[in-house]
Amino acid sequence: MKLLRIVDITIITGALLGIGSIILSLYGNPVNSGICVSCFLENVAGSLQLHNDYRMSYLRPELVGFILGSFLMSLSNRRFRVMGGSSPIIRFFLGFFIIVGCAVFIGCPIKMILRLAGGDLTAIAAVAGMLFGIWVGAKYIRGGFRLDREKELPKINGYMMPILATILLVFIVMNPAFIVTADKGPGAARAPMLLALIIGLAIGAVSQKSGLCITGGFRNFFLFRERTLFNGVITVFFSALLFNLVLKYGFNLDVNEQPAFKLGMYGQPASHMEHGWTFLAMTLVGLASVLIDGCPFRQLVKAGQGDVDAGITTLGMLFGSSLAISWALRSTSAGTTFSGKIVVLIGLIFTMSVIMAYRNRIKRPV
Amino acid sequence: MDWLDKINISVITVLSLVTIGMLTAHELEIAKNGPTVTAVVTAPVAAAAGNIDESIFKDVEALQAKGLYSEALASLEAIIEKHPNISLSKVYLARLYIKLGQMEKAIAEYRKAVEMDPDYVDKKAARFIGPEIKKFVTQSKLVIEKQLADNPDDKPSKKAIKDIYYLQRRLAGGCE
Repeated sequence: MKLLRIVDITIITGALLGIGSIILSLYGNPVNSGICVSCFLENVAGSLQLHNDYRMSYLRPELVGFILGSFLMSLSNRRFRVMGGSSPIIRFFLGFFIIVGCAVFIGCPIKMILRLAGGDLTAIAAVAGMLFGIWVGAKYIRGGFRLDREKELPKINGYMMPILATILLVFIVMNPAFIVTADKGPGAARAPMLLALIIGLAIGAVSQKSGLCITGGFRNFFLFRERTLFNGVITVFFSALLFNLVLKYGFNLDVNEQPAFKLGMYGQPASHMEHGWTFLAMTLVGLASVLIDGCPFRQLVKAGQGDVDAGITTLGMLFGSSLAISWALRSTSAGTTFSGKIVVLIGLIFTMSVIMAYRNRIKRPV
Repeated sequence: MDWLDKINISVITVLSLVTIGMLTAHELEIAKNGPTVTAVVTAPVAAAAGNIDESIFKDVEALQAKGLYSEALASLEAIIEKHPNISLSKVYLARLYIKLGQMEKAIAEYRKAVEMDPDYVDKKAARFIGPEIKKFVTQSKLVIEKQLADNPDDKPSKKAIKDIYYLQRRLAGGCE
């Protein structure tokens, strides 16, 4: 705890996210994807048989760790507050569209940073799109946007997501017959269960304390020039970049038989060349995340600390993950599917319509 | 209504028109050319591709071993006509095109095989032939890049380089 006081907790969270991701990739998680909330939710959806792509099926302990780590930390520092009731159905669908946006880019905002730190220059279009989306969202927040005000709810509501995470943890340990675990494909690319769970718990716990959020960091910077969370986001990038460079040039170590750092556009894992759609998809992710106050990772952490709205968003994200695979609302190495493009556009229309509906038009400086 | 609302309405209108336009164009294309093959191969298709009797390729293998590549190709084409959805036939086709010196066609067939069944580039799968594809892709990339440098408008080379980049991305792994 003394160390936490000396070094800013958001910097520690950022470093843990960046380095933890690379360690998980070193021990088996997909390359450039040591931690990716959207990919992992797709794996979890497959594992629970919410889609039928066997290759994309594995109950990821990291996600369970994020929720339970946050839950335990919030209990210990008395920040477990059960709040909810803020436009739940809107949040559910925004969660759905966020995941479709991530699936079209092939990665959540954390993976976007990890891809860039691995030298994948196709992620630049994603960064530009996400920043644009956050900037637009910040403009509308300043212009009076706000979802319904949340209120305090009975404690039992707040325990639902941690209980769900605990049940999933039991499934991970017991491995019952109805849980699908792939022995090939991305679902089979996995770090040892205990390592993944420990890193997930640690990241969930410190993130609860720091409030680190990828989109929130940029939003606060755009809105208030406030750098606390922003510094954490920058730390994720530089710690992952530094670790990758040390692995490659210091130890000549590969990650999953791929170079730890490979600068360029071509031959990058899980990428495509449809930069326009990457930009639009991540604009959707950035904009929708700002409206619901947090990126997909932050939603999981908030769900663990009693935020019922974040729990509903998480369920929307899980729904999005299953349909992203079943209905092919995503991109592959071959490019973005037609249905993926259409749903990104519909997602943007939906998000802009929500903004229209929830603006308080009191005259104020924009 | 302030200027933010006006921008919002304009964006919603433009996005709606683009969406309707794309859907209409897509439907017209289907009406004209029939359903297009989706880039994403669904799990049942991949599974079906895996459940084949590989002995049907015995003759092709025998002819190839004797160096009778044109005859092997004719035999393989007959199999493909009968069983068009077998991914392994694309691999055999690619290998034959390599022997016949038809690099661009070989690259295209490897791509089709991987699109139909990702197991070919998955090191945990029994069908994994990643090193074979990687070796060919590395060699052919240099040749295709030289062809493109000499003639930047050469359409077969342009398509081949796109296929090479696709195969490189698949060989690199990741969440797909």
